[in-house]
Amino acid sequence: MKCHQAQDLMYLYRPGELTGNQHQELEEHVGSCPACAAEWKAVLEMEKRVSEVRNIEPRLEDAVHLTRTILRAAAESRRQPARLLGAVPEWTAAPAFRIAACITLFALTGAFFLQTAIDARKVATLEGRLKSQSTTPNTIGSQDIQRAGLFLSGTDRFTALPESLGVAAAEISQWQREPAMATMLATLFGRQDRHGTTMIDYLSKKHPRLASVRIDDGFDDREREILASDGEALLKDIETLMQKGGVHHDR
Amino acid sequence: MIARRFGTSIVIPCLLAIWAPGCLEHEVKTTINADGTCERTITLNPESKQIPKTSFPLPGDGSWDTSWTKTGDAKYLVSFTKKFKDFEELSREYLYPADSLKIRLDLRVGKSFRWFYTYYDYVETYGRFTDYTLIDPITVLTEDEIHRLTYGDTSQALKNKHEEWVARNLYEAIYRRFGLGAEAMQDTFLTPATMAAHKEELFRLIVGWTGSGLKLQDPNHILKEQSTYRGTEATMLTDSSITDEGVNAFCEIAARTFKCEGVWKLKDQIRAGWQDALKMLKGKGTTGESFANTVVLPGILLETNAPDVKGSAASWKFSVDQLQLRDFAMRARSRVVNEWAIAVTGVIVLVLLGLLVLSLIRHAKRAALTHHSE
Repeated sequence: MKCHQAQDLMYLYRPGELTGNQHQELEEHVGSCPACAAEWKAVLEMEKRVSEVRNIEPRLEDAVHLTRTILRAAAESRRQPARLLGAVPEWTAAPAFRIAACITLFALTGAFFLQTAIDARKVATLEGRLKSQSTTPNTIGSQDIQRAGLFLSGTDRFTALPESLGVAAAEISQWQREPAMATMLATLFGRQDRHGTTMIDYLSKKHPRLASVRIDDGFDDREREILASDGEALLKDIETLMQKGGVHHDR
Repeated sequence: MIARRFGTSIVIPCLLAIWAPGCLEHEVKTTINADGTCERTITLNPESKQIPKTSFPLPGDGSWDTSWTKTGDAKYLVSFTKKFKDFEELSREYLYPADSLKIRLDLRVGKSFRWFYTYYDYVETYGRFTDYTLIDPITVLTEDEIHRLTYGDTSQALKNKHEEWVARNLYEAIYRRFGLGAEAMQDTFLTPATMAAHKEELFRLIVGWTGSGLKLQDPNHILKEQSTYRGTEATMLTDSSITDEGVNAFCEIAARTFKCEGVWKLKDQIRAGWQDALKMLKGKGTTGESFANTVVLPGILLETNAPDVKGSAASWKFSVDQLQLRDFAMRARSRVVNEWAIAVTGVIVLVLLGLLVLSLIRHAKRAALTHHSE
């Protein structure tokens, strides 16, 4: 018998599990091989200890205790699926906490964005107002219109209009050749809205009497009366349209 | 000689005087700091090294630092500077009994904490400052027109209406003396009812009124044209008084209007009335004063009624004449970001989000285990 065969038989060894022949061959090999003899001694010692344990009778109270311990450990292992979750207080699992957390998050972020949005709107309004006051030909502001003296009852102030708007002298002479105030206004406020309607078309329809006023021959009494009665309203409309950015806003 | 018209006599010289050399310019700069401290500097440009007579309430105590500088154009700059430890101290600076010769100032600065942001509100009001107190502006101008005139609208139609209001004040000064005289005279043809019925008619005649918002006529010319002095070289009005010819012309027009020759007995009252009007016209001697008021607030400007904004500085420029109709209120509101509050809120949000996610994971695992064990 060889060593590996002997060692297989050693671990299969139990009283009555080996045949008489196998038992005899094992004893002969162990007698002649010191290494297997040492192994065989260890196996016998282990077998002896296991036999002692098998002989202990389990008591009822120990079994109940053992069962409880095992069940508690199982429950705890089920309750702590991860280390991070274990660190979080138990009350955070309550649905009430989740609802409260959502409301708080909504309130905090909502308050911030609402406050910021309101302020941004105020800044935009302020910038818009300041922009409308700037004196450039392309962005005529309400101050320019008011300064223009567009509806003076005298004729001499008409020339103050282009100066305050910073318009070239060539354009002034062009206006002076044109007979109707409507033409002058069209030159000034002739930009179109998205429907292709110029501001002056819109204003002329709204103030038909003003559109009939001639500026190249001075103002007669009838024209003075029209300017006095309708001029302010037209200025207001122009100002509003300028601030809103186009005719279509007033529809 | 008195100015051409009632209205323009006061308005145009005042406007011209603003731009003319020699007018008194006031620069007021108020700096509001986020920590609540403030600094205010008032600078004037007098022509000599003396504190000028001005309608602006200059500091009278020694708590302000005063410095004089000579400028190139043979003028001086005098600056008054004071640092205030808080807003209340700044406001208290102008809490004193009103002086009729000084503009009433009201200055309020507020700070409101709104967690993410802190807001700073600045309101400074220059009180109404005028001698034309006999007629309320609202009887001639609408609220909107008053507002526009106060805040610098220079459209001619509005100027005309403003002149009409000035003229009505001057006329009221004349008419009051005239009315008192008539009442004392107890003329059966010049009863208070008759006076009241023709009061407006006389006004329109004197100023050549043709409609609201239209130009008024020169009373000097009207007095002459409407009376027997027409075509003569007679002078009706001088810079300081009404001439005898002027009184006679006025009596002539009034007698025709009231259909009562008894007005000729009221020459003294008419003359006194014109003196009152001229005194009113001269005013407090503050013609031509202008103000450039600037406030620098912490953070960014959100709202202001200032026409000029540079960064967080809002500026208003106006003349003393713009205070004739209403108080001139300057408002500005700025915002400072509370970075610490945003950081704290961010941490709270992150913690809450983390707890929420963990809570949901735990809930999902338990649900899965329960399902498995069933």
